[in-house]
Amino acid sequence: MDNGTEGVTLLTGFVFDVLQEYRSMKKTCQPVFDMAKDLDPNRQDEWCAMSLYNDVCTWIEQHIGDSSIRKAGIAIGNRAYDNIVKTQGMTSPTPLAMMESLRWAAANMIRDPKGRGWEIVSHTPKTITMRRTQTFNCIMQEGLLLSLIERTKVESPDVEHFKCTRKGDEFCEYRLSWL
Amino acid sequence: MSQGNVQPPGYTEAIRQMLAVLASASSGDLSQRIPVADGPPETPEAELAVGINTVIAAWRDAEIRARRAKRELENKLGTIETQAAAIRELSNPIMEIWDDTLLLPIVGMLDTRRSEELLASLLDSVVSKQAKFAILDITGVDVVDTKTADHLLKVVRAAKLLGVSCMLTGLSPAVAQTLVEIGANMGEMQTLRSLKEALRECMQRMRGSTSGRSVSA
Repeated sequence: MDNGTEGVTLLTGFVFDVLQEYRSMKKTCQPVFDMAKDLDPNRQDEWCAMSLYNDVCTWIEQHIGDSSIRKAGIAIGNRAYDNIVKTQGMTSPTPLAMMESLRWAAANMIRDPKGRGWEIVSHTPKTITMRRTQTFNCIMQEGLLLSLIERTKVESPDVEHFKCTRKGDEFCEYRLSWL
Repeated sequence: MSQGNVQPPGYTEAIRQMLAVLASASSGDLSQRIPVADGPPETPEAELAVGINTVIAAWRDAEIRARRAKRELENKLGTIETQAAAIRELSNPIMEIWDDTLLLPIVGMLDTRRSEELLASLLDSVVSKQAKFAILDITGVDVVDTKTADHLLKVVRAAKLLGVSCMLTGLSPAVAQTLVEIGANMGEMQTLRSLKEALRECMQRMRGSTSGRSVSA
């Protein structure tokens, strides 16, 4: 996998989305707020370096914990669901439709000269396998994916992060399933 | 085919249905069931179908419970991590008790992670408060081992690089005895009997006096 973030930018709203989850811990998480001090919270449609976003997530994962960043991913996924449904005029999307929208949204809100992002590897009536081909905090994505499919009202959704670049796999892959 | 292997009508179709449902289940779809007639099963394959359906239903229930438990556990872990971060924050308070003087009361175990956080907090405060002295009070530390002593020395050395003099106070007799026994090299650190003495030392130094009552250094 090409893990480089050179030339990759994303909307600053992504960074503020993460910071929002740690507002109540601002003193503890001061380093991440300092990292984002040059971003304007009133201009969340501006672009910033992907590396900044990754640094923010990595700091939280290392200093607060992976369950915390996963939980933040769930909250972020809930807001992402509302935004996707609203902007794309969806009503009661299926998990597959939601994943297709996520792929589209990520491709449009993250500018990657190499065209990396989300891919839908395969799907069955009760499962979807997603692949992330771009460097992103992969633990937070577990939470994000979980809340996106949970909001489609399927029963007992689960996300299994069964391939991970941190374990030497080429890409992170997630098996989304529900019962 | 011998006469003994003749299969009853519908047998092959029943097996095919069972295999299809089992294949769905093994790929994660636990919602599929083999169609069975109402009433008690009349053939062995019908009995088998009922048995497979029962197993898949039990598997699904167990999976629902496991997923619920996993979700609750992850949620609790997230909360615990957040609370742990808050506790760490509270466990390393740094107070500006006098002009240019910071106090770091250390309570409990000083492990590697905590000492790293202590160091980072101290250095931040030294810069933001423009401090010249830092008093590390370990009255609340019951046990000191070689590692703890090393951590304390690292804090002192890093602070020294920023022009800050560190003093250690609050050593209990037991802790002092342990430090001697383990041969911890505390020579780089000025130790004083009490916070009061350390504060007095800081004031004297601020006034240009070099006198102090250091036990070591």
